[in-house]
Amino acid sequence: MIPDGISDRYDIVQILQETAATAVLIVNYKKIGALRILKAIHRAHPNAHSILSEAHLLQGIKSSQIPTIISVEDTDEMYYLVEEYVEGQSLREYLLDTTITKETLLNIAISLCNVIEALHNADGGPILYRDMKPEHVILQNDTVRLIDFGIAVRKSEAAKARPLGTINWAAPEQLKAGPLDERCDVFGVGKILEYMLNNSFEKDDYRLRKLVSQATDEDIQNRIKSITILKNRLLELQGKTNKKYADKRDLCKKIAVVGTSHAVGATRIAINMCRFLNKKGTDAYYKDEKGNNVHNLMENFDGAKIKDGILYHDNFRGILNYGEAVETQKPPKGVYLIDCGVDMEAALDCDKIIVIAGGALWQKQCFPDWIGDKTVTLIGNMSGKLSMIKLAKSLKKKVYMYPHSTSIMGLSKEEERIIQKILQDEKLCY
Amino acid sequence: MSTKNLKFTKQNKKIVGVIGASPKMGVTHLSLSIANFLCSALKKKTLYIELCDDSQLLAVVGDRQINFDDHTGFLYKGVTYVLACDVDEAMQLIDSWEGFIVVDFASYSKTNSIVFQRCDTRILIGSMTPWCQRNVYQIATKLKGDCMEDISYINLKNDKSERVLIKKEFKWNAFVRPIIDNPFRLKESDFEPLIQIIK
Repeated sequence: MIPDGISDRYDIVQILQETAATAVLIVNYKKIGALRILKAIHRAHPNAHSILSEAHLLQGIKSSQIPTIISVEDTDEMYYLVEEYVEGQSLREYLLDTTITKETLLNIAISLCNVIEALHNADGGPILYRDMKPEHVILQNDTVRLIDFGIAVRKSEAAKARPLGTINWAAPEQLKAGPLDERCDVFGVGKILEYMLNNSFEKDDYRLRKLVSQATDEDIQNRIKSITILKNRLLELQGKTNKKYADKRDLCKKIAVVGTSHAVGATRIAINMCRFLNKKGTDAYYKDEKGNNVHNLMENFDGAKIKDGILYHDNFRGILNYGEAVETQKPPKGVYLIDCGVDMEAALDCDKIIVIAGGALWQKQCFPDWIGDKTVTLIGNMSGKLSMIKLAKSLKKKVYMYPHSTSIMGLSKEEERIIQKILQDEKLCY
Repeated sequence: MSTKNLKFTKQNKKIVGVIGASPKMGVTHLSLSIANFLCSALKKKTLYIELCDDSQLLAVVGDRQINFDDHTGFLYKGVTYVLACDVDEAMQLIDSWEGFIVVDFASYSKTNSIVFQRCDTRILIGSMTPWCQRNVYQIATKLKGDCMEDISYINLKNDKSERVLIKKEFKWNAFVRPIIDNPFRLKESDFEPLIQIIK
């Protein structure tokens, strides 16, 4: 239904959508000859006030990436909203004939996170966009803009909102009318990220794949908790960490140490690397993500000290995983040696990965698909030279042999030599 | 903080009992602090037994009910709580639980003295102020027949003369009560005094 009484000001250029009671038009504002979007709805329509609420929602958002609302007007029959016409190409159109690079992908994704972050931090409480899909992401040269806020809703009113959204793009809890929060938009951005990844040269980038799976986890509890966290993870991938880390970028690395099977010595190597780095003057901290290794060390180290959640003993520094009833400690700055046990998935969150392989014939070694990646270092431990040569040939990758150690608590000269070589060759933290 | 006093953590099982000489001495506050310290700071499997008829803690820790070994408990911030427990159940739990146990005695009596005797670390909170002194002597009399030895006496204020008096009169080691703002949100500075009491 095309609204009456607008012809004095607007010329209709294109009808984008028309039903008996609604219309979305591209119009030309005669006075200045500018294109605008006019959304009209009949007063009798049950959703007649949605136009007003869309206008109210967009008012408090501080972002140039969303369309500007120009006016909300009414005639005897209709309400209509006039907003800026966002020129450009939609992401879907763009990716129809373009394969993008990782750099472009990250730029678009981070830009999209910025606009969603602005919505989630809007005056008057977070706004949930709920309608993320490639058609709504408009690319204007270097700028990414988001359009169509028709089903956006304030978080405080999300419980009363109708379960709207696009199948395959909207979060499952949104379509099932479950309780909604900001994580429904994390899911949306994750889907866009996945769509871009499938149309990029980096289809097999395991870090991006991991990020997509974490952002689009169907179980809301396991999903990335906020758009800011997702943005920071993307910035880390882009190599532009937050300013507060920028000064010490080289000293703020997470190095995962992960074993191909149990009892290959991943913990020992991680602890010894931590000792070595501290001995050489680099602040390094051992962290056991899932276990209580640092607590066990605390019981067994003589003369150790605890301060700010860190266990200090000679050159060793370990982060204590306190439980919920102890005040959270501020994580120190430095290199983190993350002991991932045999959890290859956990290792993917780190900047560099050191995989420890054993050589015992009875041990089943599980090598991940990404073992060949240049950010992954392979160390053979407790194994013979011949088996390591065979391993290097089969994986087509350099294998460092970790020396046999006789010392339980210390760091032998041979261990120091090989750790120094690994750290320098692989540019892990120098 | 030094780790030299943490040798007791190598034990697989340790029972800590806390009693008060007078009411409102902070028995529950200290018991909760110890239990949360053992669980969250030292990562020990910890059971909290509230030995009383009516639970004071249900509203605080009772969100997540669990069942184990025919007992009903509540899990809160890693600690397992068995609330409003009687002596028989407490004794069963002490026998079966593999880990650290903190027993919060609402009041010490002949009936529950058997539980206190089973404790490896026995803590008595009291005050030798004139209006509370009688209570300390009364509970000392009660303890004389049961387990007078190895009591850690906690006095409410940092009064050296009181500690000397306690040592002389009862041969108890006296400690100053640690000031812990929130037993569910411990600070590292709370650890050292708690270790001194538990070890």
